[in-house]
Amino acid sequence: MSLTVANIQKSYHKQSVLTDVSIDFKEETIYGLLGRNGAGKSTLLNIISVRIFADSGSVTLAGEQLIGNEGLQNRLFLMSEDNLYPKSMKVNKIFKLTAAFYGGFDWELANHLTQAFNLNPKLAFKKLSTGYRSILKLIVALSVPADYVFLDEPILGLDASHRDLFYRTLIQTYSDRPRTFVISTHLIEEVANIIEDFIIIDNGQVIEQKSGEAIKQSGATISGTQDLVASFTAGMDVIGQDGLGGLVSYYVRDYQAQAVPEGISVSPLNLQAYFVQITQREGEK
Amino acid sequence: MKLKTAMIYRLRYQLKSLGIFYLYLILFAIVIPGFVIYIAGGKVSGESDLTIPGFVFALILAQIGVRTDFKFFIQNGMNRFNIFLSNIFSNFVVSNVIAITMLVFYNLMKVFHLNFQEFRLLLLEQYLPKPSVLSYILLVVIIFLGATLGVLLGLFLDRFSSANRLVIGAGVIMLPILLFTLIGSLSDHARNKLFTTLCHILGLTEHGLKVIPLLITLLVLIGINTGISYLMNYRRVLKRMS
Repeated sequence: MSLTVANIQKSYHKQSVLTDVSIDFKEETIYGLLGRNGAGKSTLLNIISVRIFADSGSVTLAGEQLIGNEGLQNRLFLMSEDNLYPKSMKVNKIFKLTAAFYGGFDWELANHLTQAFNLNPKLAFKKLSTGYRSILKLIVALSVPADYVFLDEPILGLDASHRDLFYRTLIQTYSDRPRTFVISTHLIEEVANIIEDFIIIDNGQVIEQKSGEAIKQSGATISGTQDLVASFTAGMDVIGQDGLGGLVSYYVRDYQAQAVPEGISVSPLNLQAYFVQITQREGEK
Repeated sequence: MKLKTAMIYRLRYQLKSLGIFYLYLILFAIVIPGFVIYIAGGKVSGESDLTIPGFVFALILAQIGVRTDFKFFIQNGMNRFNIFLSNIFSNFVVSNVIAITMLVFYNLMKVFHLNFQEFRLLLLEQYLPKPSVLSYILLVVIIFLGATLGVLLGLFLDRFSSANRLVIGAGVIMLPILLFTLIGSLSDHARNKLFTTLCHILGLTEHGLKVIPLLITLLVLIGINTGISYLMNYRRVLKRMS
């Protein structure tokens, strides 16, 4: 039962936001959806969860269209930056109503997380700080019986301790009840260890879809003097470079291990550097 | 599952609001005027209509609900059609509750006659001087018309930005001027025919006021409002917000 996004196009005021986006989300996988500001991540998630409509293309779950199909929509949950809960509604009321709407709710997990995050269940939504609003939405997202959970900027406003608690909880809840998580975030290195597959969107297009391991293994940072590095990387897929004094670092994609000449060092390319290099604009290089 | 939950949620909220509305009605139409007249020692008597407050309250309640509840229901995975149904159903139930309570209140006030305040039911007293089941039906239809207008207004405010609202609002205000100009330009024969038709659909006959034509007209207006609301809701999108 995979979730298939096929040939999605979306424009606002004649400006293209998503162009021919196709992704196949497998079951029980944790995805990282990466992209720069305005790349189209939130628009894509809003289309998948039928909050807005694409100009063309389709989103299907197990081969059936999601639009208008409430039974299928019940298997998806989007936690977004947008605050969609009534301002005066209390935290425990939000839990109860979500349980009624979704026909199930992991109360044990919700109660445990409410305590762990020190969230006051008697407070109204409007009384919560930005961080606690995120926490509330996270608890709901982790407690609903959905098979596909989309988390758009889930750690917005969370301090380091709460972020750490969230990552640990996510891994625990995933191992207790495997389902698909799609996490859209800018804090790449923080999520690097929990993500299985990365999808990188730039200018409304999917430019990369690879496992984290594949990115780490195939990418390399090659450093040394300008002449040596340039000659060593000739013919390689250089995606970017940095320089300081006479030393330079070239970022290479699909690096094939080989004998390294003296004066050159090769190190693995971390995800953040990889992401920065492949989404860098001309003026930023 | 979702539809039932949404209906219960909406009804609870609307009935709670209705309770507050009646508290205000009793406070401002009975308690405060009675107290002032008692203190002043005067014998002033006034009249208060119940139909218009019921109509306006249903309009406001529906207008607020159709905007705020949409976000909440979308967050909880409801589809547009069920959101639309939950609106129509809860508004209809609340219209019935308002009509029943207004009629009970109206009749109670007749029994416990207040010498400083008299309550009226606009249109009902004129069209149906003798209370009957039709009085109840007419009041429900009037109030439900207010609710359907509220839904339309809410969808309109949600869909258009402030600038567009101004342009469309100005257009709506100008519409009667255009309409009267057009009527003025008609021939006497055509104008007479138009007025005869208007009288006919409002139940204004030589033999007095007839309620059935008025009811049919109101039901047609409800149908039109509901149809437009359905179309505006069919592909309604969630606006970004903080």
